[in-house]
Amino acid sequence: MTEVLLILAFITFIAIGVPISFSLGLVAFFGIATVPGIPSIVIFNKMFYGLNSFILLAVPLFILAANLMNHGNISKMLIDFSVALVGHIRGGLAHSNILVSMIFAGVSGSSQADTAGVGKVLIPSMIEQGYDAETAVGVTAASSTIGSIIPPSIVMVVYAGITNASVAALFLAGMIPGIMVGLSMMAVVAVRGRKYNFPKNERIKSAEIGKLFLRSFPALVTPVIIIGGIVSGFFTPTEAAGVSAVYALLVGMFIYKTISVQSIPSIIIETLKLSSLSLFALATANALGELMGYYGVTTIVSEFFLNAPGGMYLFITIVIAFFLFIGTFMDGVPAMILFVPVILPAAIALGIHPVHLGLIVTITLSLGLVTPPYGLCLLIAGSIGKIGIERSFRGVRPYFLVALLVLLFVAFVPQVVIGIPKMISPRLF
Amino acid sequence: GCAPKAEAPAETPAETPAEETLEPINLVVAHNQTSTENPYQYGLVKFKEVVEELSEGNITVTVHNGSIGTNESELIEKLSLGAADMVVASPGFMTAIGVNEVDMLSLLYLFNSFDHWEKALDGEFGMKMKEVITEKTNNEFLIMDYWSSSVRNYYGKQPINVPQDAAGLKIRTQSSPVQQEFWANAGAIPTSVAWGELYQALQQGVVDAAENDYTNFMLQDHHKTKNGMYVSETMHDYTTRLLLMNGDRFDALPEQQQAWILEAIDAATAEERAVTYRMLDESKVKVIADGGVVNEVDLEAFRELAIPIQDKYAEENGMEAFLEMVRAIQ
Amino acid sequence: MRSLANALEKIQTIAGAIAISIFLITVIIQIAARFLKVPVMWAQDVSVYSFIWAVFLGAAIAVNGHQHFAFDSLRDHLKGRWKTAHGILIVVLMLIFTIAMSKYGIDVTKRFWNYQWVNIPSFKMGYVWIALPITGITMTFYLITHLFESIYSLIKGGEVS
Ligand code: NA
Ligand code: NA
Repeated sequence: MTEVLLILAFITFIAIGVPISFSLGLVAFFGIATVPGIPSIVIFNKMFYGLNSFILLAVPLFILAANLMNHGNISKMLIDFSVALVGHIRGGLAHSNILVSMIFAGVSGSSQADTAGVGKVLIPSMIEQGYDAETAVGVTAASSTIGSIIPPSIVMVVYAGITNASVAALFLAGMIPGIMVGLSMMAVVAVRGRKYNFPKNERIKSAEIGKLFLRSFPALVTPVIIIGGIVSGFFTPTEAAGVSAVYALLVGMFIYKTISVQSIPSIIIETLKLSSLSLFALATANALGELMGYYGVTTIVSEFFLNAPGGMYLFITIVIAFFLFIGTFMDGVPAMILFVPVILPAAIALGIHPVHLGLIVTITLSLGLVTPPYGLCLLIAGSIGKIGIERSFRGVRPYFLVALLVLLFVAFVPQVVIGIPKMISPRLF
Repeated sequence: GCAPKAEAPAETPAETPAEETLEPINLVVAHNQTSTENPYQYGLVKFKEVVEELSEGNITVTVHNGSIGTNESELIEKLSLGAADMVVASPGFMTAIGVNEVDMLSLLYLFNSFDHWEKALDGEFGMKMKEVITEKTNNEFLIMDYWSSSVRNYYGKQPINVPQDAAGLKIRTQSSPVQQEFWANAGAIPTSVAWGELYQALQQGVVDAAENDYTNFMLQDHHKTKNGMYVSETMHDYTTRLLLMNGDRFDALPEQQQAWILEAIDAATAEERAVTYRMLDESKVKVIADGGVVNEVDLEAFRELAIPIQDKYAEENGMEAFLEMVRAIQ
Repeated sequence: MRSLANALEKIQTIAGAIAISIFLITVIIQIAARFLKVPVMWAQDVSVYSFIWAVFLGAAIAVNGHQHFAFDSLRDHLKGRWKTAHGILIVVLMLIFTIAMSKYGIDVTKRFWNYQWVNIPSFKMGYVWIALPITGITMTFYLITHLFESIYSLIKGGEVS
């Protein structure tokens, strides 16, 4: 009964507009009062321990790196290069939008930075070229979800921190589904481009492309350094995040010369604000996790799935449905802090590889970035394209649906997405 | 603290006053390991079974395996805040609250065998140590008993035979100063890595080596990494874990309940140690089967390096008598 | 009160920027140290604890700027007095949490003040714990400022942005 009341309170708080992080904290605070003999102070103690983790240090570093890339013209270079490559085919800017998101994903750990950076440039120019605002916003928001799937990925780093799974393995395993999502979105652009007669750019001479390639080379090698560094074991994720921040800073300051010493404080403050929003939510989510610990939720969940018919298939289906639902109103990081510890023991008992579960959860939560009412990438892109959330989601929908298909493939055919990385690097699995 | 689960019956039969008036209590007991295949879990579950049976349900127990904290200092703070009634912890945390006497238990090569360890901790040494802790922490931390987390060995990217073989290696050690001093004197570079991140650190070469007991590193697959596959049986640390309760909380309980708890703890300790020793053997077999390479070391050379650190520690902390007590046993 | 809140926000922003800069520098020191094979155990403690400070400070600043992620659609459907009243309800709910955070933050800081840092024993854990009540108290202050502004405008019959 108390449990039901607490869940209702949580939903009410969120629905009436109490910030997510405070809704989590309030339910934890009220909830702990219902556990006999446990003092309320543990809730605040636990918030502290939510942050007291070395692996989480990667989060602000990745956000900083993305900010520096947006300020340091790296994003702009990548966009120009993508437009030069695929701009001339039908729906050229839409294709470039997806392609640049795939490349950007290889340097950035966060999808929001991609929406903001790429959207600011491409949404206006797409609309100017004659795309409807829904398509411009939809392609931008949907393709930026790839940022969390293709490594590096903040969501995967947090998942690894919770489950002890290898970040390198997760990163390696994220490559194939990330590219699959990108290519399937491009297929949607191709089909819709023919139907709605999407515009195209003029073909750019190969000499021009060569020149652009040279100019954008420092930007293009970043993914190689970062992904290569982590997967080969040269860097830890935190180190890679630090190195990519330093690299973006150096490139921005000395090669593209768009970052001045005076602009650094504002970049730092921007990073502070962005990272503390999701990390404070992480802290209060951890406090709510404490309440679930006292209630023994993990044991209940494990027992349910171990006794339920359908085994791992039922489990995966429920996990996807549940995280899709949670993702409509909650950020990926606090959602994982709350629920991954609850489902992990059941997954392991059912024989699901932690890396596989990590991929499923990561992709599902990345889709939550574009589902209303609370989808950060959807909101950011919508505000750039100056359209409301309903129209934005109408634009996202076709791309969302193909991404969902990729997710189901990843979930139910692990032989490909886990099997291939395992062949490449058996020591990681 | 724990509030009563149910109201005491309003009318108490006059014939059996002592037992009937005992208010039922629920004890929240916790350790930091999430796995249930773990000596702590066996020990605490045994405690639960025995105390619930002895008290015929007057005392109930909730066991948390990592579900209210996987970080030892977090569990210690819970004990202090009254959010847990009994926890298992390494002695190391005591130095963080200024009780340096306990760091004695972290001295390397203090014990030569499990037998030696048991004799010392179950005897006068262990008794005196309990008194020191109770006094130094104003009865906040009461040692209910001494548990074991097995014996620790070196494992790394290359085998070692004498301490100097570890020269230049970055080794992940426990945070205790006396242990770091030992490895630094051997020429190694002590490094701090969170336990949960050690697998990746070994795999990615952030550290070249680590040290732990067979069961612990086997469960984490550390021996399957390239920087963790050579196990050298240095047996440098017969570990002690403290089963702790808040002293004031314990003292406030009725005598009958105290007696049940103490009796159940005896059974729990026997179970915990037996499981530890059994798992050590099983884990070693598993490590070798998985391709881990095991060698014996020149134990005398290691002891030689440890003795001066022990003497220095004892002198600085006024623990000479304690050190003598342990050395006299063998 | 508004200008005091804004001044406080400025101070906290600077403090947060310093915390995150210390954090960045110590992370870079650790990377360098690993490649140079020198032990820098202290840097790990400093980076984690300055990170915690930065997060809490940033979270407090975001309260003053209404930047914490919330689901706005109910608010967007309300107008005039109703919108202001709704704003007051949200602030009151948030205040319950921030006041509790201040009170229990003080308790927990007092209790564990003397615990030592793992790698720098001469530093006390109190220096880190105190971030909790400071965040709670400053958040409370910002929220009370918002509350007064809303009540004032409710009396005037207007709307608060
Ligand atoms: Na990425
Ligand atoms: Na995009």
